[in-house]
Amino acid sequence: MENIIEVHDLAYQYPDADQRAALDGVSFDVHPGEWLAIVGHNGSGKSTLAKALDGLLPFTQGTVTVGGVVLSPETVWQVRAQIGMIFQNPDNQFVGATVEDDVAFGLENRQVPRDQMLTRVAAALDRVGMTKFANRAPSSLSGGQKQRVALAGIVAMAPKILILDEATSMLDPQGRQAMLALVKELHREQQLTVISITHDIDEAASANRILVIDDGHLIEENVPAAIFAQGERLMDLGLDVPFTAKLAAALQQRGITPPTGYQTTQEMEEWLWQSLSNTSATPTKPTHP
Amino acid sequence: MSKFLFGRYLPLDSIVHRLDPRNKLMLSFCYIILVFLANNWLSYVILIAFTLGAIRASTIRLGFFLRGIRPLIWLILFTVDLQLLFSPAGGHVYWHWAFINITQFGVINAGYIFIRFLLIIMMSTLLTLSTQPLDIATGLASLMKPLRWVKVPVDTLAMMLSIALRFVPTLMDEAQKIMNAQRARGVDFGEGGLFKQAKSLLPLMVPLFMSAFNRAEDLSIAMEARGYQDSDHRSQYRILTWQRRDTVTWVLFAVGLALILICRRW
Repeated sequence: MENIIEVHDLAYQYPDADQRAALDGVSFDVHPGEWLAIVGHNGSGKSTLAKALDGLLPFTQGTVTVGGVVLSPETVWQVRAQIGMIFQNPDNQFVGATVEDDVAFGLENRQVPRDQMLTRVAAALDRVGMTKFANRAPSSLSGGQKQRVALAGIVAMAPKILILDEATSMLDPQGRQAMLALVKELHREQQLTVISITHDIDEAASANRILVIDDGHLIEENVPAAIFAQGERLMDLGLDVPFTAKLAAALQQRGITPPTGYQTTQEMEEWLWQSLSNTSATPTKPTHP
Repeated sequence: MSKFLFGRYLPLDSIVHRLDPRNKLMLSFCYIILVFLANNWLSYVILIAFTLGAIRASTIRLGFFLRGIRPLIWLILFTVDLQLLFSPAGGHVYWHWAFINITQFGVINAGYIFIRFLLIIMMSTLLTLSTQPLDIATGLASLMKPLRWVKVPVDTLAMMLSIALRFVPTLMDEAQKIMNAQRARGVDFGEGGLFKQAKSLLPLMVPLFMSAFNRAEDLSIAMEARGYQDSDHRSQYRILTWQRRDTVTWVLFAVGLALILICRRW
């Protein structure tokens, strides 16, 4: 199958920065309908990469091809029409004065006729479960609700690609989970290609493939299970170490050997229950950490 | 602080609330002309009746309007006093000292000025109490549309106004947070002399401006990512529709105008 995004030898340097390049010789492909996670430290260049894909940064070297269109100043609007982007700060991407105005913003920019806008805005708000809030002002919404509105704005535009640029990092755990569940549904229903730039392990675990960026270089590319199996190195990769991995490490220190490889919370819980019931005949007094 | 700007709108569902904001703006403007056309007691009585009628129709309690007058009371009293004390001579002189004359003419004029102030404040309060700031902005932008012909970027201005209004509560929240953070570090806001107070605002203003600029940059990137190129080539989601009730208000206005023209002293 043809790739939906092809990045070849991409490089970028911030004009006011020192010699170090924000991106240096990055090449990768994205398949249609794939979920790709990009992880890395703060300042590793992952957000720069996301912005470069959408033509929001004038990169100095390399080519980006989105849906067969080679990104250039002439084609930038063609490229942007294929990509929906959600950014980190929920407040700073809310343009409209009310929820429905904000969802309509992208449609207005494309000069969609008003009767079509009405149906598409209503359908998009319904899809993300924000219909009740259609007339609300952004100041009366939580961060998670604002991000859902941002997602509705993208659903209304129906692009082929969704880029999440740390879109859940400012949300509380519930908001983060709700948002992630919604993106998963959209990914499945609409064969949406998802690129998520993230520190969140759950978000990265939802991906088909993970790219690791460090210091502007692409240093690793693999399926989540293989990346997560590296345990302690995860922190070096800029991921928040999952609770189960922390627990496994703590258990190991006390001489208990948990199964190797990444465990979901549920898998870990099951393993714990099993080992507890095996050892319950000889209970040991728990030691406080 | 946020009460000052945004607590003014009272979300009720009266006929006045449902009027087209463009219409309300035009009516308010023409009403001011009416107020200045009136020049005797009878014409003012008619105007007061009209104003009270409009307030009644809005179902907003009179107390809100009186509260709208309070911040302006010193300005009103000052102007009224000027009229009272320094009016040109005319009619009976009640009191005279040096260059100060209190004349019959002055007293009557002062009374008129007082009523004019009162009426204009009441009506503009009615406009802001019954119309959301956003609708006022949309209405203003729509009324300014003819200025396109003289190359005024009306749509861009409308977009700027709407974004500014949208960010007022956000920045208010932010200001509150920064103030709390600076208080925790020992800054006293609103204490000491004028100079000291102004100086204490510095640790509030600097971070607030920094953050506002960051927000502006983020917002511009987000807008571009969503396909925003310029304000002239966009379709409109929010539109205003002229209803029959809007036409009815102009019939009422015409009746008012006719009555004033008949009753006023020529």
